[in-house]
Amino acid sequence: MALKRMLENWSRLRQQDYYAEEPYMWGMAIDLNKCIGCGACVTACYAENNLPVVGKERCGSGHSMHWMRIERYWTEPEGTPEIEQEEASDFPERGAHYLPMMCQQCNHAPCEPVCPVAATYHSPDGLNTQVYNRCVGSRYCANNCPYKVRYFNFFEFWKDLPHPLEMQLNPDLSVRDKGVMEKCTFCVQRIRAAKDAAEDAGHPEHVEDGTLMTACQQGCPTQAIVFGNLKDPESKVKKSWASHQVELDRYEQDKSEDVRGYRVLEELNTESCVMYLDRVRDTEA
Amino acid sequence: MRQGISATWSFRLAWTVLVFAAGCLLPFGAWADDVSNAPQPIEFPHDRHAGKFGINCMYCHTYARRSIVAGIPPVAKCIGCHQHLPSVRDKPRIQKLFTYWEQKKPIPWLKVHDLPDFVYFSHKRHVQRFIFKDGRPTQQVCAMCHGDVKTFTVGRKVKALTMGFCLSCHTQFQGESDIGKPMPAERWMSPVAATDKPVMKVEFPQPAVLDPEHPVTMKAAEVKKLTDRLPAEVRDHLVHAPHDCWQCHK
Repeated sequence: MALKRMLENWSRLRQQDYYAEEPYMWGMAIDLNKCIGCGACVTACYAENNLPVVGKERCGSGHSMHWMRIERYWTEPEGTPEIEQEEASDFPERGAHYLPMMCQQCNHAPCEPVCPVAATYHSPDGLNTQVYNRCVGSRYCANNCPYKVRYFNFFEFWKDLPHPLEMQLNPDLSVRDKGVMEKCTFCVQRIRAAKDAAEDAGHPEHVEDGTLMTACQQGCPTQAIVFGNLKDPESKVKKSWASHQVELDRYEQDKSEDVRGYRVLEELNTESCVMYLDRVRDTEA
Repeated sequence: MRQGISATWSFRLAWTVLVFAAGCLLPFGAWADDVSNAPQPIEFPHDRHAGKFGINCMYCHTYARRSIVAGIPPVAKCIGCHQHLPSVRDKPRIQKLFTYWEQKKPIPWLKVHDLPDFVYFSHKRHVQRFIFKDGRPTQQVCAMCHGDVKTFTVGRKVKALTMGFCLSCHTQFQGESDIGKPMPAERWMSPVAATDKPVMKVEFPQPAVLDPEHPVTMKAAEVKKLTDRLPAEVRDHLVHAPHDCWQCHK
């Protein structure tokens, strides 16, 4: 029944302008030039979102739990005399290249239509939601995610917390139990708090840019992560998207050569809300 | 054959009895997780404070208007009044209170209205809207979820506080307002529902992908279209019902 209704309503909800009048579309821009791969964002995410630290063995068996991860790529630069000289140093240039990867909050999310109980669906804010108390743990969404950013609670990780440590859990979001899928939420608890504050301030449809930060953004020492409302033309993130000519509702960006913006696996037409700015290395210097 | 028939009949009888018993118990389902008989450290008389003396609920539950939780007052707040009330000083409850004060210990109250951890409920939003914006009497507003507390001693959970309970208000007032009309007594005094609509009949909302027509899953823009037709003084007091699971589930 649920599947039938879902199929019926799918095309309607997938119209480009379905959520056009909503005041918010949360988006992110990550400058890989600024990213130094320190992992502060990952640590901040663990602390904010009640993530369990599962340890090396469970990570090895594929039970890792990290909503945000730093992906490492090694692209050795073309050999130039200067680089070769540098080889002699203690810290030679190996061409390390980091990419923080979290849920891309796709607007055409592959995880959403496959959920048998609609525990993951698209919110009007452009967020890819995960309702824990609805989830039955089929793990279909994780299998369908091209970014591999959904994590399943194979164990009751919260039981591993020794006594005083349960006090550090964030009360603003639930502690997930066994059998539930979870993923980056763009710190929805902070979004909720920011909207609440905006309503108190008397402008419920407008969250001031900069008042709302995700945990990873707050933790980033080089300010590589920018988060905000893509519907707000004055927001930092919207300006960043515009200056790099990356637009929503496009699977092939029509942009000039010298801009760095791109979305990961854009060719899959997932319409993600996270833009990365490519790393540029000056090999001539 | 005869034995078979009698087996069927006893089966039917057993079913009838079972269904009847279940039907009788159904109204009491709401009290299944009732902790009203849980022993509180002090049998705090709400009926004297809120009822007889008419103290505003928010005098003690100060956080209700500015936080998502209402909070329980610190012992200092009790002492603040009671040190000036020698007439009741000898009562065992007050003696117990002063014991906690002298030992510098918090009173280990039990939480009566405990929502599941995956539920986000903001006292602030409700209090700000109903008490400060609409100007309704505080005790009636609190009573919508907490029952007629001024007749209780210790707090008891008398409303179901289920998702259907929340929706018994939130679906009903989507797109219409009863501002200016007196609040019907059954809404805030009846033990089951916040409204006169029975909780059992409330349809649980689905995310928009399952049911874009359900008022709870309606888009904000569509709700706006609907409410723009209302006169301004009514529109300003509308309940903004959630249209997205993530507004209440965390």
